[in-house]
Amino acid sequence: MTLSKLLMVARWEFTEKIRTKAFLVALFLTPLLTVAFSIIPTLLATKENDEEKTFALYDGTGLLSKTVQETINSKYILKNGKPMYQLVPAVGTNLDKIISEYKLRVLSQEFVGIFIIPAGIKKDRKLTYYSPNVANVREIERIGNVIEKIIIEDELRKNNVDIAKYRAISKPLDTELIKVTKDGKTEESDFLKQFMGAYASLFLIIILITTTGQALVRSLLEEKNNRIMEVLLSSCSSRELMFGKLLGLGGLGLVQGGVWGLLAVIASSQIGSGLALTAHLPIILLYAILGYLFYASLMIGIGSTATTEQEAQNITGYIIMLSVMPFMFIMVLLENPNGTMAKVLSYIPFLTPSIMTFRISVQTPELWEILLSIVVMLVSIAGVIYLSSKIFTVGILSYGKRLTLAEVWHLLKAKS
Amino acid sequence: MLNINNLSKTFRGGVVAVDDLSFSVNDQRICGILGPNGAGKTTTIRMILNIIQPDFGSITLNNLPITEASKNVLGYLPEERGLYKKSTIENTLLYFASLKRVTPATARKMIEPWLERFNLGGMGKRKVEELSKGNQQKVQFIAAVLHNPDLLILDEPFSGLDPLNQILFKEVVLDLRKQGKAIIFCTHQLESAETICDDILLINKGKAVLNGSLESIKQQFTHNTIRIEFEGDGSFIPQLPSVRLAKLESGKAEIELEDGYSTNQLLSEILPHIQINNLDKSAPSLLSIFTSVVGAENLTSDFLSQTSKELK
Repeated sequence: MTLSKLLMVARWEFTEKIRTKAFLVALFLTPLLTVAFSIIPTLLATKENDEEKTFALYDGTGLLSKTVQETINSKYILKNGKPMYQLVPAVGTNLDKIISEYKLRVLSQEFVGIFIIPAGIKKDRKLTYYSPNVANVREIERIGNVIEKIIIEDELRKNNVDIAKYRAISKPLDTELIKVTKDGKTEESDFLKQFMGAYASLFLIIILITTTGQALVRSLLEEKNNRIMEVLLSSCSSRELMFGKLLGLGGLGLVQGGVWGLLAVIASSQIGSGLALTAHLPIILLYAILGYLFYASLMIGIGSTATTEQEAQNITGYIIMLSVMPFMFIMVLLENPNGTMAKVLSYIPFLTPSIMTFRISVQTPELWEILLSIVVMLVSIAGVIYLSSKIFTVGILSYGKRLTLAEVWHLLKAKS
Repeated sequence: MLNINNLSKTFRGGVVAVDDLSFSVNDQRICGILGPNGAGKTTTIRMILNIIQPDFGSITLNNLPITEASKNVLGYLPEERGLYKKSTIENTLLYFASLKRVTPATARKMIEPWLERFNLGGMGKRKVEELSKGNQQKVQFIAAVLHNPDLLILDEPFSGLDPLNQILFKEVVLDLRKQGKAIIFCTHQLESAETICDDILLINKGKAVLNGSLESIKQQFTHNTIRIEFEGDGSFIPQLPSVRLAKLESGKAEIELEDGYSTNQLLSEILPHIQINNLDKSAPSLLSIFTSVVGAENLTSDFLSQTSKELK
């Protein structure tokens, strides 16, 4: 294997791909999408609705509904000054009949839902809500809380407790969040900032790894299908070709990652400090490179057995599914970034780069963990490259019929 | 000069692709490798190109065993055409030349003369996808020869070209021969093989069934074959005592004489029955040589149909 031919292949892959429109689009569209994906759901979830909502309320005690309505009206007001929630009293003699009647009216969308305050609510402490949609947790909780408070204060009054005093005493605490970092500095932070930073870096690293890996397989398939492969192989060895491609497209990924990192630095200087992505940029970039090498060598080996674009997409699809697995563990990692679960996941090579990136963004793990994970990656990459190059050498020359698993197995066993 | 000795390759599953094959291609010679699909041509070429390794036998180029470094003095035009569509002609040619370890400066000097030779002068900055298919084929040909290789392997170089470009390509190939290159020419088109090749290697089922200079092969088979064109019913010809073997097509016959008979004797036998328009006792066609050597039943039907179509 000569280095100069390898570098020629790498340079070609790099310079030809960096000029394409697809690359430029990905370069700037991906960060935009990332921001959109991490911010928009949060914004939407915290956004107040601006429409009046009507609920039905059955008051089995006959004493609470008026106070509930008044409290709700004074507490929750729309921008236009109108009350946010209308509570229409449900009337009737028999509770079962009321429920069956109002169920229909709820279904016909006359009401969002119906709250049932049973006669024995003070003793049983049970409120019922009927609705086709029981997922609008915020409203259910708000109205439920108001009812609860009224019942409590009612009881306190009966026991001659000073309500004003009670309210002053039971004022909720406001927890201030200050993030402590390794260098001893402290900074004000909040969940959202922390989550967004970690989430964005996870998202970007996965996109980077998978898109570059896919580009690699696509370029391979193009050469295979139009038989440029044969001309290339009459000029250089399959190893030179494989490593040249890995290097060239890796360089491309590096440019992409660098630009994204720069955008993140600019963005966070606009938003203010706290976006964890920026502080850890170099180490995140290192994990991105390791992740790329691992996934790209895997894809180029397996991808070389494909004979059509379709097959290649199937193959890369499965590998990409592996790479997005860390999203399943986000909540666990956020709650306990140094827990056993996080530690175990950090040393599975398929997950290491993204899990470690995420952990570093949340709370930097100890140095030995970072070093160990890097060693795990390096060993896995060497292994994958060794196996992939065996498949690659034969895979790129097989046309028409995809290599079967048995044939691939035979290749892997053969001595190179 | 390329020397191949006792070359063998068996693939997994026991398919014998190349079986004890020996031949050589001298400098300033064009060697036509002919044979049906699956005869082992591609495998042989891939072994010469050092893409796959033989199980047995040796390949030497200029008396040195083939290695990765040999690739720098090999040029290859594969049968299937393909280039990077989005890249410019110049960049594509520079890339392929760089893989042969030609410096960009040297390659740049050679690109324009080659483009002009193929009537593509000044088009180096164009993208490959803007070219017609024939012109793309020219670019691919240039990519195979730009680095001035010692051995040139051309797989069906003329297929898909219009007649004018076929002539152009043929001139270029003959020029390259004059410059001293050893050229391997793989084709199904026996007609073009006859007009351009100095040597012939016919492979069937991985084995060489015929190998030598075109002249000597033709001489070997000329002695008693006569071709006639006639009007009338020639179906009686194969039964004549002077005829050993006759191949009849409408209005044409290729007749092999029985030993001891002369052309005159044959004529006296057939003249009373048919009107003869043309008689030719020159060398037999490659196809008839091949069929007589291999036996029609041993050539795969697809080769026969391809080759005989070209004869008509």
